[in-house]
Amino acid sequence: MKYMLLIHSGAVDEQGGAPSCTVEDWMAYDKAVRDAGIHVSGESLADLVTATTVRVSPTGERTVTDGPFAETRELLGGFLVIDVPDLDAALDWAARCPGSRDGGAVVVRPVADFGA
Amino acid sequence: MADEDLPAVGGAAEAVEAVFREERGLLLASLVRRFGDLDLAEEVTSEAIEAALRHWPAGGVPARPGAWLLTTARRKAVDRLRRDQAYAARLAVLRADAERDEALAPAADATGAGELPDERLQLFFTCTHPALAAEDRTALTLRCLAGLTTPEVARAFLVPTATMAQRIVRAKKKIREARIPFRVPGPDELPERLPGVLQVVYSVFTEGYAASSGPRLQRLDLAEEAVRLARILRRLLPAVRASRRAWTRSSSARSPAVSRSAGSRRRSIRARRTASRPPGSSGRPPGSSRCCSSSTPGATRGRARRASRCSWRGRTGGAGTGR
Repeated sequence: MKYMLLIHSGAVDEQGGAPSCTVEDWMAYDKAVRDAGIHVSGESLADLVTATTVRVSPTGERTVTDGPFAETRELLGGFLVIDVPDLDAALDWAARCPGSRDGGAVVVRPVADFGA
Repeated sequence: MADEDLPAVGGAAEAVEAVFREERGLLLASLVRRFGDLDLAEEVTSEAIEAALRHWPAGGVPARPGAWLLTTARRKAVDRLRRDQAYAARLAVLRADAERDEALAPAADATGAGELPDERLQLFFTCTHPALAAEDRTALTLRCLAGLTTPEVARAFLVPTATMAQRIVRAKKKIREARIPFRVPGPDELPERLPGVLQVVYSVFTEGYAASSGPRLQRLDLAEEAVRLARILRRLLPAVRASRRAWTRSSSARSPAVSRSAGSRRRSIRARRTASRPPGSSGRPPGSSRCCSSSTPGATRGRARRASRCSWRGRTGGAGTGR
Protein backbone atom coordinates (compact mmCIF):
# COMPACT_ATOMS: atom_id res chain seq x y z
CA MET A 1 0.00 0.00 0.00
CA LYS A 2 1.44 3.34 -1.04
CA TYR A 3 1.17 6.40 1.13
CA MET A 4 2.23 9.92 0.30
CA LEU A 5 3.71 11.88 3.15
CA LEU A 6 3.07 15.58 2.54
CA ILE A 7 5.70 17.39 4.52
CA HIS A 8 4.53 20.78 5.73
CA SER A 9 7.17 22.90 7.31
CA GLY A 10 6.39 24.82 10.46
CA ALA A 11 8.39 27.80 11.63
CA VAL A 12 11.01 28.76 9.06
CA ASP A 13 14.22 30.68 9.64
CA GLU A 14 15.79 33.23 7.26
CA GLN A 15 17.35 30.52 5.16
CA GLY A 16 13.98 28.87 4.66
CA GLY A 17 14.81 25.83 6.76
CA ALA A 18 13.26 24.61 9.98
CA PRO A 19 15.33 25.91 12.89
CA SER A 20 16.34 22.71 14.62
CA CYS A 21 16.22 20.25 11.74
CA THR A 22 19.63 19.95 10.24
CA VAL A 23 20.51 18.75 6.80
CA GLU A 24 22.03 15.74 8.56
CA ASP A 25 18.66 14.90 10.09
CA TRP A 26 17.10 14.85 6.67
CA MET A 27 19.91 12.81 5.19
CA ALA A 28 19.65 10.28 8.00
CA TYR A 29 15.89 10.02 7.50
CA ASP A 30 16.25 9.65 3.75
CA LYS A 31 18.82 6.91 4.25
CA ALA A 32 16.58 5.11 6.76
CA VAL A 33 13.67 5.17 4.31
CA ARG A 34 15.83 3.82 1.48
CA ASP A 35 17.46 1.18 3.68
CA ALA A 36 14.04 -0.04 4.80
CA GLY A 37 13.20 -0.70 1.16
CA ILE A 38 9.99 1.30 1.31
CA HIS A 39 11.05 4.31 -0.76
CA VAL A 40 8.96 4.85 -3.89
CA SER A 41 9.65 8.48 -4.69
CA GLY A 42 10.11 11.80 -3.02
CA GLU A 43 11.20 15.32 -3.69
CA SER A 44 11.96 18.41 -1.77
CA LEU A 45 10.29 21.48 -3.25
CA ALA A 46 12.07 24.74 -4.07
CA ASP A 47 11.14 27.94 -2.26
CA LEU A 48 7.53 29.00 -2.54
CA VAL A 49 8.44 32.32 -4.25
CA THR A 50 9.24 30.20 -7.29
CA ALA A 51 5.72 28.75 -7.49
CA THR A 52 3.54 29.39 -10.53
CA THR A 53 -0.12 28.45 -10.96
CA VAL A 54 -1.78 27.46 -14.24
CA ARG A 55 -5.51 27.36 -14.82
CA VAL A 56 -7.32 26.56 -18.04
CA SER A 57 -10.79 28.01 -18.51
CA PRO A 58 -13.66 26.08 -20.15
CA THR A 59 -12.88 27.96 -23.40
CA GLY A 60 -9.32 26.72 -23.34
CA GLU A 61 -7.83 30.01 -22.31
CA ARG A 62 -4.74 29.63 -20.23
CA THR A 63 -4.17 31.76 -17.14
CA VAL A 64 -0.76 31.80 -15.54
CA THR A 65 -0.28 33.50 -12.20
CA ASP A 66 2.55 33.95 -9.80
CA GLY A 67 2.21 32.07 -6.55
CA PRO A 68 0.24 30.96 -4.65
CA PHE A 69 1.76 32.45 -1.55
CA ALA A 70 0.13 30.81 1.42
CA GLU A 71 -1.13 33.02 4.21
CA THR A 72 -0.27 30.38 6.75
CA ARG A 73 3.18 29.51 7.91
CA GLU A 74 2.68 25.87 7.08
CA LEU A 75 3.85 25.30 3.55
CA LEU A 76 4.19 22.14 1.56
CA GLY A 77 7.92 21.71 1.49
CA GLY A 78 8.25 18.29 -0.01
CA PHE A 79 6.74 14.90 -0.33
CA LEU A 80 7.67 11.30 -0.01
CA VAL A 81 5.88 8.24 -1.32
CA ILE A 82 6.48 5.07 0.67
CA ASP A 83 5.18 1.55 0.24
CA VAL A 84 4.31 -0.02 3.60
CA PRO A 85 1.75 -2.61 4.72
CA ASP A 86 -0.69 -0.40 6.60
CA LEU A 87 -1.52 2.98 8.07
CA ASP A 88 0.23 2.31 11.36
CA ALA A 89 3.51 1.72 9.54
CA ALA A 90 3.00 4.88 7.48
CA LEU A 91 2.27 6.88 10.62
CA ASP A 92 5.46 5.57 12.21
CA TRP A 93 7.51 6.78 9.26
CA ALA A 94 5.71 10.11 9.32
CA ALA A 95 6.57 10.49 13.00
CA ARG A 96 10.23 9.81 12.27
CA CYS A 97 10.32 12.47 9.56
CA PRO A 98 12.20 15.61 10.67
CA GLY A 99 9.44 17.65 9.03
CA SER A 100 6.94 16.55 11.69
CA ARG A 101 8.86 18.39 14.42
CA ASP A 102 9.11 22.06 15.39
CA GLY A 103 5.57 22.97 14.55
CA GLY A 104 5.74 21.18 11.25
CA ALA A 105 3.29 18.51 10.23
CA VAL A 106 3.29 15.51 7.98
CA VAL A 107 -0.02 14.65 6.35
CA VAL A 108 -0.36 10.99 5.44
CA ARG A 109 -2.48 10.31 2.38
CA PRO A 110 -3.08 6.83 1.00
CA VAL A 111 -2.38 6.73 -2.72
CA ALA A 112 -5.55 5.77 -4.59
CA ASP A 113 -5.46 2.26 -5.91
CA PHE A 114 -7.46 1.79 -9.07
CA GLY A 115 -6.80 -1.92 -9.11
CA ALA A 116 -4.16 -1.69 -11.85
CA MET B 1 -37.17 0.24 15.12
CA ALA B 2 -40.62 -1.24 14.80
CA ASP B 3 -41.11 -4.13 17.18
CA GLU B 4 -44.16 -5.43 15.36
CA ASP B 5 -42.12 -6.13 12.24
CA LEU B 6 -40.24 -8.86 14.02
CA PRO B 7 -40.97 -12.51 13.53
CA ALA B 8 -42.31 -14.25 16.59
CA VAL B 9 -39.27 -15.95 18.05
CA GLY B 10 -41.16 -17.59 20.88
CA GLY B 11 -39.30 -19.79 23.34
CA ALA B 12 -36.02 -19.62 21.43
CA ALA B 13 -35.82 -15.88 21.97
CA GLU B 14 -33.73 -16.09 25.10
CA ALA B 15 -31.28 -18.54 23.61
CA VAL B 16 -30.97 -16.45 20.49
CA GLU B 17 -30.49 -13.30 22.53
CA ALA B 18 -27.74 -14.82 24.63
CA VAL B 19 -25.92 -16.20 21.61
CA PHE B 20 -26.39 -13.13 19.49
CA ARG B 21 -25.17 -10.63 22.05
CA GLU B 22 -22.05 -12.60 22.71
CA GLU B 23 -21.37 -13.93 19.24
CA ARG B 24 -21.97 -10.88 17.11
CA GLY B 25 -18.76 -9.11 18.07
CA LEU B 26 -16.79 -12.36 17.93
CA LEU B 27 -18.16 -13.17 14.53
CA LEU B 28 -17.58 -9.70 13.19
CA ALA B 29 -14.01 -9.59 14.45
CA SER B 30 -13.30 -12.96 12.96
CA LEU B 31 -14.69 -11.94 9.57
CA VAL B 32 -12.94 -8.57 9.53
CA ARG B 33 -9.65 -10.34 10.05
CA ARG B 34 -10.43 -12.65 7.15
CA PHE B 35 -11.61 -10.02 4.68
CA GLY B 36 -9.94 -6.89 5.94
CA ASP B 37 -13.25 -5.25 5.09
CA LEU B 38 -15.46 -4.11 7.91
CA ASP B 39 -18.35 -3.36 5.59
CA LEU B 40 -18.50 -6.79 4.05
CA ALA B 41 -18.00 -8.41 7.45
CA GLU B 42 -20.89 -6.43 8.91
CA GLU B 43 -23.19 -7.26 6.05
CA VAL B 44 -22.64 -10.98 6.19
CA THR B 45 -22.75 -10.98 10.00
CA SER B 46 -26.17 -9.36 9.85
CA GLU B 47 -27.28 -11.79 7.18
CA ALA B 48 -26.10 -14.77 9.20
CA ILE B 49 -27.92 -13.52 12.29
CA GLU B 50 -31.01 -12.88 10.23
CA ALA B 51 -30.82 -16.46 9.00
CA ALA B 52 -30.42 -17.65 12.59
CA LEU B 53 -33.49 -15.72 13.67
CA ARG B 54 -35.41 -17.39 10.88
CA HIS B 55 -34.18 -20.94 11.38
CA TRP B 56 -33.47 -21.35 15.07
CA PRO B 57 -36.97 -20.75 16.47
CA ALA B 58 -38.24 -23.55 14.20
CA GLY B 59 -35.32 -25.94 14.08
CA GLY B 60 -33.78 -25.24 17.47
CA VAL B 61 -30.47 -23.63 18.37
CA PRO B 62 -27.57 -25.67 16.94
CA ALA B 63 -25.07 -27.29 19.26
CA ARG B 64 -22.35 -24.87 18.21
CA PRO B 65 -24.20 -21.64 17.44
CA GLY B 66 -21.04 -19.63 16.89
CA ALA B 67 -19.72 -22.07 14.33
CA TRP B 68 -23.11 -22.19 12.64
CA LEU B 69 -23.09 -18.39 12.35
CA LEU B 70 -19.51 -18.30 11.09
CA THR B 71 -20.18 -20.93 8.44
CA THR B 72 -23.33 -19.17 7.31
CA ALA B 73 -21.61 -15.79 7.22
CA ARG B 74 -18.69 -17.21 5.28
CA ARG B 75 -20.99 -18.79 2.70
CA LYS B 76 -22.78 -15.51 2.26
CA ALA B 77 -19.46 -13.73 1.89
CA VAL B 78 -18.34 -16.19 -0.78
CA ASP B 79 -21.61 -15.57 -2.65
CA ARG B 80 -21.04 -11.85 -2.53
CA LEU B 81 -17.41 -12.02 -3.52
CA ARG B 82 -18.20 -14.29 -6.45
CA ARG B 83 -20.43 -11.59 -7.84
CA ASP B 84 -17.60 -9.11 -7.69
CA GLN B 85 -14.50 -9.98 -9.67
CA ALA B 86 -12.52 -7.23 -8.00
CA TYR B 87 -12.63 -9.31 -4.86
CA ALA B 88 -11.17 -12.39 -6.48
CA ALA B 89 -8.02 -12.19 -4.41
CA ARG B 90 -9.99 -12.07 -1.18
CA LEU B 91 -12.02 -15.03 -2.30
CA ALA B 92 -8.87 -17.08 -2.66
CA VAL B 93 -7.85 -16.12 0.87
CA LEU B 94 -11.28 -17.11 2.09
CA ARG B 95 -11.10 -20.53 0.44
CA ALA B 96 -7.69 -21.25 1.90
CA ASP B 97 -9.02 -20.14 5.23
CA ALA B 98 -12.06 -22.39 5.07
CA GLU B 99 -9.89 -25.36 4.18
CA ARG B 100 -7.57 -24.69 7.06
CA ASP B 101 -10.48 -24.28 9.48
CA GLU B 102 -11.98 -27.54 8.35
CA ALA B 103 -8.67 -29.27 8.90
CA LEU B 104 -8.50 -27.82 12.39
CA ALA B 105 -12.11 -28.41 13.29
CA PRO B 106 -11.79 -31.97 14.64
CA ALA B 107 -9.00 -30.87 16.95
CA ALA B 108 -11.11 -28.05 18.32
CA ASP B 109 -13.96 -30.46 18.94
CA ALA B 110 -11.72 -32.86 20.79
CA THR B 111 -10.33 -30.23 23.11
CA GLY B 112 -13.70 -28.61 23.62
CA ALA B 113 -12.05 -25.29 22.93
CA GLY B 114 -14.07 -22.16 22.24
CA GLU B 115 -15.89 -22.14 18.97
CA LEU B 116 -14.39 -18.98 17.54
CA PRO B 117 -11.03 -17.53 18.27
CA ASP B 118 -11.70 -14.28 20.08
CA GLU B 119 -10.40 -11.54 17.79
CA ARG B 120 -12.44 -8.75 19.25
CA LEU B 121 -9.43 -7.08 20.81
CA GLN B 122 -8.06 -6.37 17.33
CA LEU B 123 -11.43 -4.94 16.38
CA PHE B 124 -11.38 -2.72 19.48
CA PHE B 125 -8.08 -1.23 18.42
CA THR B 126 -9.26 -0.73 14.84
CA CYS B 127 -12.49 0.97 15.91
CA THR B 128 -10.68 3.27 18.33
CA HIS B 129 -7.73 4.07 16.07
CA PRO B 130 -6.47 7.64 16.60
CA ALA B 131 -6.66 8.23 12.84
CA LEU B 132 -10.46 8.22 13.21
CA ALA B 133 -12.40 11.21 14.55
CA ALA B 134 -13.18 10.89 18.26
CA GLU B 135 -16.96 10.65 17.86
CA ASP B 136 -16.55 8.14 15.03
CA ARG B 137 -14.52 5.90 17.32
CA THR B 138 -17.33 5.76 19.87
CA ALA B 139 -19.96 5.25 17.18
CA LEU B 140 -18.03 2.44 15.52
CA THR B 141 -17.35 0.72 18.83
CA LEU B 142 -21.04 0.79 19.72
CA ARG B 143 -21.90 -0.43 16.25
CA CYS B 144 -19.32 -3.18 15.89
CA LEU B 145 -18.56 -4.34 19.41
CA ALA B 146 -21.65 -3.52 21.42
CA GLY B 147 -23.83 -4.70 18.54
CA LEU B 148 -26.06 -1.64 18.43
CA THR B 149 -27.87 -0.89 15.20
CA THR B 150 -27.22 2.38 13.42
CA PRO B 151 -30.56 3.86 14.64
CA GLU B 152 -29.59 2.89 18.19
CA VAL B 153 -26.18 4.50 17.84
CA ALA B 154 -27.88 7.59 16.40
CA ARG B 155 -30.16 7.70 19.43
CA ALA B 156 -27.17 7.38 21.71
CA PHE B 157 -25.66 10.48 20.10
CA LEU B 158 -29.07 12.16 19.67
CA VAL B 159 -28.49 12.76 15.99
CA PRO B 160 -30.69 11.73 13.04
CA THR B 161 -30.16 8.16 11.84
CA ALA B 162 -29.11 9.38 8.38
CA THR B 163 -26.38 11.54 9.92
CA MET B 164 -25.07 8.65 11.96
CA ALA B 165 -25.25 6.27 9.00
CA GLN B 166 -23.15 8.70 6.98
CA ARG B 167 -20.64 9.08 9.77
CA ILE B 168 -20.26 5.32 10.15
CA VAL B 169 -19.93 4.82 6.41
CA ARG B 170 -17.22 7.49 6.29
CA ALA B 171 -15.32 5.93 9.18
CA LYS B 172 -15.49 2.48 7.60
CA LYS B 173 -14.29 3.91 4.30
CA LYS B 174 -11.32 5.39 6.04
CA ILE B 175 -10.50 2.08 7.74
CA ARG B 176 -10.68 0.30 4.41
CA GLU B 177 -8.99 2.81 2.12
CA ALA B 178 -6.32 4.17 4.42
CA ARG B 179 -5.79 0.59 5.54
CA ILE B 180 -6.05 1.05 9.27
CA PRO B 181 -4.68 -2.27 10.44
CA PHE B 182 -6.60 -4.90 12.31
CA ARG B 183 -4.11 -5.75 15.01
CA VAL B 184 -3.28 -5.39 18.67
CA PRO B 185 -0.48 -2.86 19.12
CA GLY B 186 2.82 -4.21 20.39
CA PRO B 187 3.82 -3.78 24.03
CA ASP B 188 5.75 -0.60 23.17
CA GLU B 189 2.71 1.06 21.57
CA LEU B 190 0.16 -0.23 24.03
CA PRO B 191 0.59 2.53 26.63
CA GLU B 192 -0.13 5.03 23.88
CA ARG B 193 -3.10 3.24 22.37
CA LEU B 194 -4.89 1.62 25.31
CA PRO B 195 -6.13 4.88 26.86
CA GLY B 196 -7.90 5.61 23.57
CA VAL B 197 -9.79 2.33 23.79
CA LEU B 198 -10.70 2.85 27.43
CA GLN B 199 -11.73 6.43 26.73
CA VAL B 200 -14.31 5.22 24.25
CA VAL B 201 -15.74 2.74 26.73
CA TYR B 202 -15.74 5.36 29.44
CA SER B 203 -17.47 7.96 27.32
CA VAL B 204 -20.23 5.46 26.56
CA PHE B 205 -20.54 4.78 30.28
CA THR B 206 -20.58 8.46 31.21
CA GLU B 207 -23.28 9.18 28.67
CA GLY B 208 -25.36 6.38 30.19
CA TYR B 209 -24.71 7.48 33.73
CA ALA B 210 -25.50 11.15 33.32
CA ALA B 211 -26.84 11.86 29.85
CA SER B 212 -25.58 15.11 28.37
CA SER B 213 -28.91 15.70 26.65
CA GLY B 214 -32.30 14.14 26.15
CA PRO B 215 -35.22 13.77 28.52
CA ARG B 216 -33.68 11.18 30.82
CA LEU B 217 -30.88 11.77 33.29
CA GLN B 218 -29.75 8.19 33.14
CA ARG B 219 -29.64 5.96 30.12
CA LEU B 220 -29.11 2.57 31.61
CA ASP B 221 -29.03 0.88 28.24
CA LEU B 222 -25.85 2.79 27.38
CA ALA B 223 -24.33 2.29 30.80
CA GLU B 224 -24.97 -1.41 30.39
CA GLU B 225 -23.32 -1.45 26.98
CA ALA B 226 -20.25 0.19 28.48
CA VAL B 227 -20.18 -2.41 31.22
CA ARG B 228 -20.42 -5.13 28.64
CA LEU B 229 -17.63 -3.63 26.53
CA ALA B 230 -15.47 -3.22 29.61
CA ARG B 231 -16.14 -6.82 30.56
CA ILE B 232 -15.07 -8.03 27.12
CA LEU B 233 -11.95 -5.87 27.24
CA ARG B 234 -11.13 -7.05 30.71
CA ARG B 235 -11.26 -10.63 29.59
CA LEU B 236 -9.13 -9.93 26.56
CA LEU B 237 -6.51 -7.81 28.24
CA PRO B 238 -5.08 -9.69 31.18
CA ALA B 239 -2.26 -7.18 31.41
CA VAL B 240 -4.49 -4.34 32.46
CA ARG B 241 -6.40 -6.30 35.05
CA ALA B 242 -4.03 -5.49 37.85
CA SER B 243 -4.36 -1.74 37.41
CA ARG B 244 -8.14 -2.02 37.08
CA ARG B 245 -8.33 -4.06 40.26
CA ALA B 246 -6.91 -1.24 42.32
CA TRP B 247 -9.60 1.13 41.15
CA THR B 248 -12.28 -1.48 41.58
CA ARG B 249 -11.39 -1.96 45.21
CA SER B 250 -11.42 1.74 45.90
CA SER B 251 -14.82 2.38 44.37
CA SER B 252 -16.83 -0.80 44.54
CA ALA B 253 -18.82 0.28 47.58
CA ARG B 254 -19.85 3.59 46.17
CA SER B 255 -22.81 3.34 43.87
CA PRO B 256 -24.84 0.16 43.98
CA ALA B 257 -27.89 1.40 42.07
CA VAL B 258 -26.68 0.80 38.55
CA SER B 259 -25.07 -2.48 39.42
CA ARG B 260 -28.25 -3.82 40.93
CA SER B 261 -30.19 -2.58 37.99
CA ALA B 262 -28.66 -5.08 35.64
CA GLY B 263 -30.30 -7.90 37.54
CA SER B 264 -29.05 -11.04 39.09
CA ARG B 265 -27.22 -12.35 36.05
CA ARG B 266 -24.61 -9.66 36.57
CA ARG B 267 -23.92 -9.78 40.26
CA SER B 268 -20.36 -8.73 39.86
CA ILE B 269 -21.19 -5.87 37.55
CA ARG B 270 -19.95 -3.34 40.07
CA ALA B 271 -16.45 -4.60 39.77
CA ARG B 272 -16.59 -4.84 36.01
CA ARG B 273 -18.15 -1.47 35.57
CA THR B 274 -15.10 0.13 37.04
CA ALA B 275 -12.91 -1.30 34.35
CA SER B 276 -14.31 1.31 32.01
CA ARG B 277 -12.39 4.10 33.65
CA PRO B 278 -9.34 5.34 31.82
CA PRO B 279 -6.02 4.57 33.44
CA GLY B 280 -4.80 6.96 36.02
CA SER B 281 -8.22 8.42 36.71
CA SER B 282 -9.62 8.24 40.15
CA GLY B 283 -12.62 9.19 42.16
CA ARG B 284 -16.29 8.92 41.62
CA PRO B 285 -17.77 8.62 38.17
CA PRO B 286 -19.73 11.66 37.05
CA GLY B 287 -23.34 11.49 38.07
CA SER B 288 -22.87 8.70 40.55
CA SER B 289 -24.21 10.72 43.45
CA ARG B 290 -27.35 11.51 41.52
CA CYS B 291 -27.59 7.90 40.59
CA CYS B 292 -27.63 6.80 44.21
CA SER B 293 -29.97 9.41 45.57
CA SER B 294 -32.48 9.92 42.81
CA SER B 295 -34.09 6.53 42.84
CA THR B 296 -34.73 3.61 45.08
CA PRO B 297 -32.96 0.42 44.05
CA GLY B 298 -36.26 -1.26 43.35
CA ALA B 299 -37.42 1.39 40.95
CA THR B 300 -34.11 1.36 39.14
CA ARG B 301 -34.25 -2.37 38.78
CA GLY B 302 -37.65 -2.24 37.13
CA ARG B 303 -36.57 0.40 34.67
CA ALA B 304 -33.47 -1.48 33.78
CA ARG B 305 -35.36 -4.65 32.99
CA ARG B 306 -37.57 -2.74 30.64
CA ALA B 307 -34.57 -1.02 29.15
CA SER B 308 -32.71 -4.23 28.48
CA ARG B 309 -35.75 -5.87 26.96
CA CYS B 310 -36.30 -2.92 24.68
CA SER B 311 -32.73 -2.72 23.57
CA TRP B 312 -32.72 -6.42 22.73
CA ARG B 313 -35.84 -6.05 20.62
CA GLY B 314 -34.25 -3.21 18.81
CA ARG B 315 -31.20 -5.28 18.10
CA THR B 316 -33.08 -8.27 16.88
CA GLY B 317 -35.01 -6.15 14.48
CA GLY B 318 -31.92 -4.38 13.29
CA ALA B 319 -29.95 -7.52 12.69
CA GLY B 320 -31.14 -7.91 9.19
CA THR B 321 -31.77 -4.35 8.21
CA GLY B 322 -29.57 -2.08 10.30
CA ARG B 323 -26.36 -0.97 8.71
